[in-house]
Amino acid sequence: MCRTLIGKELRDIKWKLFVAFLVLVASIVLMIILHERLLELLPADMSEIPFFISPDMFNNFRDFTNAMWSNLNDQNLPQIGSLLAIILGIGLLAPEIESGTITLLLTNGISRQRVFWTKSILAVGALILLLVVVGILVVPLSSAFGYSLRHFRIIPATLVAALGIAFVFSVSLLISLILKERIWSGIVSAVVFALWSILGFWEATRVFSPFYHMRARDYFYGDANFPWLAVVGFIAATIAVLLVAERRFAREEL
Amino acid sequence: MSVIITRELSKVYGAKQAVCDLNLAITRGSVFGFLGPNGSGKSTTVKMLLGLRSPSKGSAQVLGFDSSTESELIGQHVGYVPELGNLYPQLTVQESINLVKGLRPSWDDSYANHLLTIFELPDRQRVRKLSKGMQRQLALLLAMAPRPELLILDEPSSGLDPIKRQEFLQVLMDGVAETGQTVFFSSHNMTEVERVADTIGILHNGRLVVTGDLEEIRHNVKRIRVVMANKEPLQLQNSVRKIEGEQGQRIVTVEKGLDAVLAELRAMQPLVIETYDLSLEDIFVIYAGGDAKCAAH
Amino acid sequence: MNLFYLDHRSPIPIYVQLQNQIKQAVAGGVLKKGDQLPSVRELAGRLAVNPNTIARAYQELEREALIETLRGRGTFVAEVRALAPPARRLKISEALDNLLREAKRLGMARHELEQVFAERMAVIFDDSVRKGRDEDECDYN
Repeated sequence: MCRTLIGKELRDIKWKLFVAFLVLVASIVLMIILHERLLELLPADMSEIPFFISPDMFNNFRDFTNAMWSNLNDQNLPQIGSLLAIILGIGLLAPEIESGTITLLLTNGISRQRVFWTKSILAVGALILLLVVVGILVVPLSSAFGYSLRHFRIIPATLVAALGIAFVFSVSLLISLILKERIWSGIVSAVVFALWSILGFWEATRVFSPFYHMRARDYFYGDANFPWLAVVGFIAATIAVLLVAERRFAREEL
Repeated sequence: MSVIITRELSKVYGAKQAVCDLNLAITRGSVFGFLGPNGSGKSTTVKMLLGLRSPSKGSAQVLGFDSSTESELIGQHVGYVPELGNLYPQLTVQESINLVKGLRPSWDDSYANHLLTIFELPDRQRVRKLSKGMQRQLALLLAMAPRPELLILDEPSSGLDPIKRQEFLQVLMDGVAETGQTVFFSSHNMTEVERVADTIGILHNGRLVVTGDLEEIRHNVKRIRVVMANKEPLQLQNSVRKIEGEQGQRIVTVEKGLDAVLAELRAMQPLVIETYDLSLEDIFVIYAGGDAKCAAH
Repeated sequence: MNLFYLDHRSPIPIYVQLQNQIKQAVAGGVLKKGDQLPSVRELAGRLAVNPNTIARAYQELEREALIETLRGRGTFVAEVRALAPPARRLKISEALDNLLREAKRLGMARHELEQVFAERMAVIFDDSVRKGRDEDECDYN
C-alpha cells in the first residue's frame, strides 16, 4: 500500500538529489584537476605565504589527502549538504499542507503517522546514502587522475557529516511545520544554522556546533579516535527532533 | 443504520463559533444534501468528519469509526471530493490514478476506466494542465472508483459548467443506484440538491436549523397569502414560522399543520386566501436568512 | 428511449410526474404491452435523479398493476389501459385549478369566466364550428 507513496516521494525528490550529487562530484573533480596547478602557484616554503593562509591550510594545500578533506568535508559537504537538507526539509510536508494535497493521502486511508515517517525516513535515508556514496567515490575519482589517498578515513568522516546533515534536515522540517510558509522556513533555517555554525569558531563553544562535529577534523588528521559520541549524538538528536515534528504534524488542522 | 453520527459536534476558532452542537444522523443508502450559505460551517463539518480537523467539543462517527482517532480507517471506506482540489499538480492523470489505486484495495479498475471514458480525461496530461472542470472530474473519479460505502462531497459541482454538472449528477446517481452507497454532499445549488437528495439539512451560523426528509419538508413548509378587510395585525392560535406583510396583506409561513392554519384563516373571512408551494431555494432562504445565533460556550 | 421529460421546478413531485408520463405513454400506444421499461439504475443515471424517486414511481405503478417486474429480466408493461376516468379527471382538475385561481386573482367574475369557457369549448371540442373558423382561431381578442 505504501509502495505508491514511496514511488511518488522518490520522484519528487530525485531531481534535488541528482543536482546536489552532480555539484558535489563536480567540486571533487575540479579540486583534483586543479590540485597540480595550485601546487605550482604555491611558494616553496612557509615564510612566503600570504597572511590569510594559516600554516594548517598551507599543509593542507600541499598534501592531496588533506586537501581532499579540506575541500569536501571541511567546506562542500557541510555547505552543499546543509543546503540540500534545508531544501528537502522545508519541501517535505509544509507545501503539501499548504496546497491541500496531503489530504489526498490522509483521506485514502494512510494515517498521519505513516505519512510522516514514510516521507521522513525516505528523505533521511536518501540524504545519508547520497553523501556516503560521494565520500566513497573520492577513492576511484582520485585514482582516475593518478592520485592515491594515504588513508581512507575520509569515508567514515563523510558518514559522520551525513548524520550531521540529517540533523539539519530534521530541524528544517520542524521549522517548516511551525512557520508553514516555505520561503520564511527556508530563510529562518538558513539563519539558524548560519548562527549555529559561528559557535564553531571559538574553542570554548565549538563543541556545541553541529558543524564542528560534522567535519571530524581531529579524527581525520589522526589526532583522535572515531567520534562515536558525535555519531550517537547526531542520531539521537535527529530522532528527537523528528518526534517533535511528528507530534506537531499530528495536531495540525488541515 | 446510520453511517454518520455526530453528537454535539462543535468547532470554535477563537471568538468565532464555526459549528455549534451539531447532531446529525445519516442513514445508509440515503443521499443527504447539506445546505448552508457561505461561511455557515459546512466545510468545517466535513473536515471534522474526516479527521482533518479536530472538534472543540462533541464527537463524530463515520461508518462506526471515530473521526478523531480512527480517521485512517474512515479513509479506507470513504470517497472524498474536497471543495478546493487536492490533486498533485505535477502528476499525470494516469499517475494520479495509480497513486490512489495503490492506496485503496477496493479499487475497481473497470469502473475507473468506464469513468475515464465518460469524462474523456486525457490520461497522459498533467493535472496542472487540466481545466478546472476536468480536475474536478478526476477528483470524482478517484473518489468513486474504489466503490466506497460512503461518498463525501464538498461543493462538488461548483466551478463546473452545466454540461459537466449534468454528467457529474448522472454518474453520481448511477453509482448510487448500482451500489446503494450513501452520499453526503454539501452544496448551495438548490436545483441540483432538489433532484438528487432525499434528505436535507440546513446549516446556518454553525447551527442545524432544519433537517429531515426533503419530500416531507416541501410538503409541510408552505406560504399562505391572505388579504384581510381590516388592517389590524394578524394573530393566530396555531403556531406558525413567520407572519409578514402590511396594509391588510399578510404572508404566513407555515412549518407544519397547514390545514389547521388554513381553517383558522378561512374562519376570519379573508378577501383573498392562497397557498403557495415553496421551492427548496425559498425554504433555504426562510431558514438560512435569519439571525440564528449559537449559544456561547 | 428518451420518453421522459421532468420539470424540476414544478410543485408536482418527480415520482408523480414520472408515473403520469408512463401512464400517458401506455395509454397513447407509445409503450405497448410487454415492452420493457428502463431499469431504475438506467433511468436514475440518465435523468440524474435520485434512484429512490424512480423506484417509488415504479412501485406505485406496480401496485396499480400497470407494470410488472420479472425477476432477473426487468420491468415490463403489464396492461394497457386508457387513462382511467379518475386519473384524467385528476389531471385536468389540477390544470383547471391553476387557471381558475389565476382568473380569480385577475378579478374575473363568474359569468365572464363561463362565457370564455363556452367560447373556447366550442372552438376546441366542436368540429363543425372549427372547420369554418380555422382562420379566426388566432383572432380572439
